[in-house]
Amino acid sequence: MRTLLLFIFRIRAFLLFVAFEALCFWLIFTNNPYQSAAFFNSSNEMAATLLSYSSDATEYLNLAEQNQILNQENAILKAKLANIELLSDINKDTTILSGFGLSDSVYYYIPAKVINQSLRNTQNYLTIDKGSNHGIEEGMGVISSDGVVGRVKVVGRNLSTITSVLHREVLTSSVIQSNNSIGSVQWSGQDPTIAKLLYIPRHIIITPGDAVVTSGFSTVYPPAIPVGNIIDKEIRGDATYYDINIRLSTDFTSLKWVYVIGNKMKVEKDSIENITLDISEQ
Amino acid sequence: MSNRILVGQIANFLLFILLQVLIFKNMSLFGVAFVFPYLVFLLLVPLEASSILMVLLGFAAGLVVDIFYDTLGIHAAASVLLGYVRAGWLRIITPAGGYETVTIPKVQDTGLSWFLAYAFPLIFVHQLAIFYLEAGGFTFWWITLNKVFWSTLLTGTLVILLQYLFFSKKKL
Repeated sequence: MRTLLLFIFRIRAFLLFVAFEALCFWLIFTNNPYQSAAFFNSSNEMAATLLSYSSDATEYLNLAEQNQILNQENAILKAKLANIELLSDINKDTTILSGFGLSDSVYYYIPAKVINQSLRNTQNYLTIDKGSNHGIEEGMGVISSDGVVGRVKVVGRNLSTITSVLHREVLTSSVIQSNNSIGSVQWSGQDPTIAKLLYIPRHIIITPGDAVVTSGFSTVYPPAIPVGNIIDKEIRGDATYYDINIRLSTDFTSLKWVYVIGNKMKVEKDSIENITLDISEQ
Repeated sequence: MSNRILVGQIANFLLFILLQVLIFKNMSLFGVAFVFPYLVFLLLVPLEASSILMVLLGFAAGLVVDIFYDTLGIHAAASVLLGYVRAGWLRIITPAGGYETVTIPKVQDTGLSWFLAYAFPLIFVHQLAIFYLEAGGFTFWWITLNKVFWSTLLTGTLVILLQYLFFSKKKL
């Protein structure tokens, strides 16, 4: 015991040194966030912080472009509003349409921000920053100010995943605006700006440049949302349908803001159609 | 330790730490060489000071600098290391007969070559500790070593210049 104490006494300077170094290191790790992060390897948190900063910064850099897009959208909406006011003036005296004012609109729009997106796969998805807390439900349609984007696939509380139109298995019910012939738009799988319009029979006259818009037959999209414009057509000798390429209206490469579309009549429409199907099968 | 020496040490402590935090804090040469004049205080503690005293003084000086640098613990750790190593280093470089006239190892009294041999290894150890602690490990090995090298040279030079500036040769 005595030798041990003597030994401790002899190395007292060293022990003091170790004690003070320990104290210093404790100070370093508890007070300096960088050292704690580097030593205790909380790299996830650091990476996340960094990423959110970079997202904020790029959002800032895009401000001018986004402003321009919103401006254009405003202009279009104003034009539409003017039309509606004109119509309501005309219909003021007729009671037939009185039940269909603006407030009774079937569709409602939830704006959302795109926070993640893929373009280069054959099945592309987007993630938006709104979820069930904001009233988003599975199967709702999603559009941008330019045109269709896709439909909601999975809903989280604050985030949702959208199956993009750029997905091989998504078919969008569409019509050619000039002649109301109905077809389906499907992505061709490579170029994110080009898709195919299917099931247009050969007796229809097609002019390149014609607008293709949503049909409104499904409950996903309201009618007359732009899908794209026809680039070219081709028909093989014995084929029933045209091969039509269209340029998509939505620029997926710069997509930042979208609207999720709710349909107040969706349940009613779907159930009534199912009943019809059931009856016809009997 | 006479009162006169004690007063001198307290004056050194205040002088060189104030120099450090007020004037030299944001000074660097080409981003690689930094200066730490507060080491003058630690280097000029009388030779007979024990390791224990040096560890305590190192901690005190380092902590004050840390508070001004917002690097709590880093300078303290490096200075405690310097304080502890100093006594051993002095035993190694002291000639067999000891020093007759020197109590405070000022460069004017010890001669330039002895002071270089005494101070540079200690400063080097101190800078090693500072920069590797600051870098948070050995990831940036070469960049950090580069900083250590140039900072040691610059700090060592400044430590000698400051002594010529503030102290006169001991009157015999």
